[in-house]
Amino acid sequence: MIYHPWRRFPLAVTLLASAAASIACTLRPSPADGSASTRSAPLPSASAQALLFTYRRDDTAPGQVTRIRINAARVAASPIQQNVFGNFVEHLGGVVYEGIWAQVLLNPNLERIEERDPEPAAWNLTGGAWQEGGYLSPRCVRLADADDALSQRIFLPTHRTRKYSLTLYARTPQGAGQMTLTLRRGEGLAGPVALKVPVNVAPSGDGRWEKRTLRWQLPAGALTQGEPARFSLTHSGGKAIDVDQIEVFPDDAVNGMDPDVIAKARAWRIPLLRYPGGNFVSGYHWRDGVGPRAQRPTRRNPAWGGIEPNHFGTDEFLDFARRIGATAHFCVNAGDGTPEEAAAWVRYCNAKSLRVPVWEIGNELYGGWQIGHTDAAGNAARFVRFRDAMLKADPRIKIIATGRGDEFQPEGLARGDAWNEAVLRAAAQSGARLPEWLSAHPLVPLPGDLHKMPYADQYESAMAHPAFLDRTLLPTLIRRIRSLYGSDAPTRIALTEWGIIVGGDRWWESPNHDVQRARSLTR
Amino acid sequence: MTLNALLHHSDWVTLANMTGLMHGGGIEKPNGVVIVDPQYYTQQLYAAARPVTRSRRSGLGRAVTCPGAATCQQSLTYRTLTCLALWEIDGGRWSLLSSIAIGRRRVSCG
Repeated sequence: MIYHPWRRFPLAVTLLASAAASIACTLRPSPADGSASTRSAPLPSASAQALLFTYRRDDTAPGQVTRIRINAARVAASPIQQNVFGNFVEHLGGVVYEGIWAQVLLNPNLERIEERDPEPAAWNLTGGAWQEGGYLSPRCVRLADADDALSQRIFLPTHRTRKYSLTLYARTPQGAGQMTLTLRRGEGLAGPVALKVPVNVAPSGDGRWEKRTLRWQLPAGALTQGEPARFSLTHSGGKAIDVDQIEVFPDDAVNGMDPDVIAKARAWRIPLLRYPGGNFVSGYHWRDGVGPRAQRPTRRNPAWGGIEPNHFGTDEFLDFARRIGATAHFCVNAGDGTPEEAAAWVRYCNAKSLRVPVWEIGNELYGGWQIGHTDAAGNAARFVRFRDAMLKADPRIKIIATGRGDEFQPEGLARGDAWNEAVLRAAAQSGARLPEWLSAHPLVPLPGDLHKMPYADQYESAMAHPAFLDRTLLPTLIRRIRSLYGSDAPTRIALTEWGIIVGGDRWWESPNHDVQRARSLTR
Repeated sequence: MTLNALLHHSDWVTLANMTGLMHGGGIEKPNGVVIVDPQYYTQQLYAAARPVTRSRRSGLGRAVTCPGAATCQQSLTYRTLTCLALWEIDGGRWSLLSSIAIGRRRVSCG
């Protein structure tokens, strides 16, 4: 490993572009007896001086010298587009809920997600009744008898704030009732009490739902950072109370979003942010995620399972992108969606002055794992229909066609090439505008048992992928575009998902998911 | 390494999205506490540097062993320089030029 912590250069970008001199450095093995040496490279950051890269070399070969020469005069003619440093937000796992979105309760509408759910998904119901007739939603919970309790394990950002607000809709068809909000330390209902607050619900006469908001503050030291807590609403007197649409936000939430996530994402300096999927988008209907939150339907996440309350949708994402300084890049549902739905999404954003410049038509439509997947001809036909409808809605938008570049052996390359040829030919034959980009998703699935290999083997396996990308996949994509559209083609390549996916249940031990190390660095 | 591959082809690859902001790398939020991982810093290094000029490489590498992956053959001639990036500090007036390379004969990584 060679690391040269160069001295500071004024305006080093200019240096790279114009300097004629070449810069070379040579490192010889150390120590002299040839035993392995370790060098560490400090992160070149003004704000985070931490050791991130440490490598050990085998320099046993006599006279082994590694030489790097940087010729600053040899530069290419075309500039690097900043959008190659883009990123991606998908409704998946803890990315949106328990991630960007600051509300700490899952399934706030108390809905059924899987057919066999015996109680509201993510909740525990002790006594009480889970019944139909929720507030603007199918189901709610009735707490009628002493100690009927609705509870969920949560994590509160106590490292930031002790102040929170509870919002719920309640009704008391038979007269006044009382509930108690309790927070207990630990996972269960028997843990030590950290907070107990009464919630009185006055009779609502005709059984109308009424919104209740309760602000509360945790006592100092009641919960430590990262400690689980059990949130519960318990019937504590009076008549039966129906509850629905329960939300708990920290008081420092930024328009519903986690200020820590916003800060980290902003500091990342992401120029372009793709949304909302991913596999998720092929079953996502954007109208579910706009309008008043209480009126948005709770669904099962169509691609990944789990709860999708649609509380984070178009407006929320665009607000998030704006706050972190990123340009929005939307992917439309070309799985079970329609061209009309996609065009309406373009118009919706424009009407709210939330213009989104980059629109991608479909996600991995070649894959059997994708909702509404199709063959090459189907993708080509779909692309033309979606493009025409969306450009009619706004001819200024830039379009990405679903291409293919996800397989890493000769047959796979040929499959991808045939797929790409079909969509590029169809795009040109229709006489309308060619797509600005052809997509590919070079996601690398590494073996699930990778963690059993020596760390160096894991690393080498991961590093083989960029070599393939550089030498084989990208040249194949480029040749295909050139062959159909010529060297001055307006169509370029968009790798709208790239990364390494390590299977198995110990993925976090892989080199690029070393969360434990990251944790030690960020404390 | 992947970013470098993209930069080498930057006249054709003009848009890319790493997967992803909070899954696969970057920002993590275990137990409600936001942390970042090494990928975050690597990406940040590139994005913050805002490179405008594509560089060319020369020189060939040699074979590396990569058991467990189907793409080993692709590594046979891969070069070793893995990172050339600029980090703007002091409001962009000064920059730090860094090169990070992975040795071909590296046998372990701590």
